[in-house]
Amino acid sequence: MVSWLITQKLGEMVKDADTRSIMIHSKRKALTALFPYVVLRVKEGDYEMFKAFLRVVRSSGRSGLMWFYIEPLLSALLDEKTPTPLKWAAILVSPHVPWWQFEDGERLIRLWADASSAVPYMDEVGQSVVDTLLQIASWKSPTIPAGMWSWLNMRPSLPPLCSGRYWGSREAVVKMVRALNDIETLKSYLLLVWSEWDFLMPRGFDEMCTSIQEDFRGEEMNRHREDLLRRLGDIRVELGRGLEYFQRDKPELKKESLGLRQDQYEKLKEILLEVGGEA
Amino acid sequence: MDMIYFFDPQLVVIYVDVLLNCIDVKDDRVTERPGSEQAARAASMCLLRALSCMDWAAMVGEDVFGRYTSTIPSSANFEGLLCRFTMSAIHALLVSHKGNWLDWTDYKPHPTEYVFFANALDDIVRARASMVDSKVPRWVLRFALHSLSMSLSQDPPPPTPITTACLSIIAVDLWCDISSTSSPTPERYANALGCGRPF
Repeated sequence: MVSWLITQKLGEMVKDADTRSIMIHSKRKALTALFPYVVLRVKEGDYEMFKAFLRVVRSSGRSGLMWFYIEPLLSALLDEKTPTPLKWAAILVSPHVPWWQFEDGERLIRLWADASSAVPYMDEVGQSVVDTLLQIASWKSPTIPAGMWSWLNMRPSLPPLCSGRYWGSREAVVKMVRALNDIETLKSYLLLVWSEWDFLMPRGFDEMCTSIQEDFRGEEMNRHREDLLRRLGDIRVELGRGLEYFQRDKPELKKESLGLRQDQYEKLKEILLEVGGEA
Repeated sequence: MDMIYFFDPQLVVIYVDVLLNCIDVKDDRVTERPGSEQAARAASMCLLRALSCMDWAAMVGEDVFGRYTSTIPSSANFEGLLCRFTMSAIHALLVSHKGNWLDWTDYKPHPTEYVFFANALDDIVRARASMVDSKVPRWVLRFALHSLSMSLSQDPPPPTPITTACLSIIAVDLWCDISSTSSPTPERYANALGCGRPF
């Protein structure tokens, strides 16, 4: 009964877009204490509370839980011997974990990478892994196991609020993906981080321009350029929906920010066409 | 142990006196008097149980607070006591409300004592919920986190009543209306002690 009441309350917490951040932040200690029980329900085959809990965490970003207290539990959930459903639960919350705050962050990242491979693929899993991967790459690149980059080629659909996509457009990440010397992965990366929902980090944007000019040049790259141009066309259509559409998910968004995105994606298109013209 | 559930809440002052008679305080260090270890443990549990029945809106009588603070300083150190966690909880309830110093990592008592302790905290949280601006103390929520984490990782897990009490504590903090759910009953203390006798 109490479990049911808590699940209902979690549902209520995310209903009002204007107040949910404050509400969730004020209850972060209770939400943190609840986390092991939510996972316990998953272990017993009951996913309802976890779904409600995940909606709360996704609505709040990192301020929803006091992750410092959960680090040992998270480590246990990602452990090799942990049953798959529990790994799955840990992976779905992983985009909201401040990995860089953990004392033993590097070990946790290795555990996370191994656990990701052990869970059956679903779009939701792909979203979480790619979101987390791009965040980790943006601040602690050397710890990423090389095999993790192949997750980009799954190209899961990323949600409107996606920290990985935002931070993943940093110059360091663009350079890191370029250094893989894998054109498919590079293209997948660009297709994922280019989005109407975020503008690109200025230096990352410059590096992307360079990448198009250097990596996507030549006739053999026609197919890849076409894919990228198609993506830019889709983004242009989406940006035409106007400010109000975007403010439903990002109430703080300003008109100037939309304008900046339009300019960035137009510029990328221009360079792609230019490189294509030369081919 | 009978006195733990056959107690009269009005006797809370006596429990404080009994407890204070079992301990010594030097500087900030609290120690049990030689030979009084078990008595201190029982007295601390009685006091915690008494506090769980207090009218928190009227606040624990001045007598209780005055007696306690006249002997035990706010910066008291309970390290090494047999009843360290119970004393720490009492201290956090009466003196140092945030209880930031309270670390549950090593809290692994006998299941009977664990259930008793969790039930008492649940009752205290429920009793304080009606107070204006009352929040569940963060050290109580950390207790819930510790206990629920044990439910997940420990084999066998702690007894179910501990999970129930922790969920109830969390529900109160989330402002769930749990008044219609099982209200605290003295029987659960008796059951926790395995006596099974009516209150």
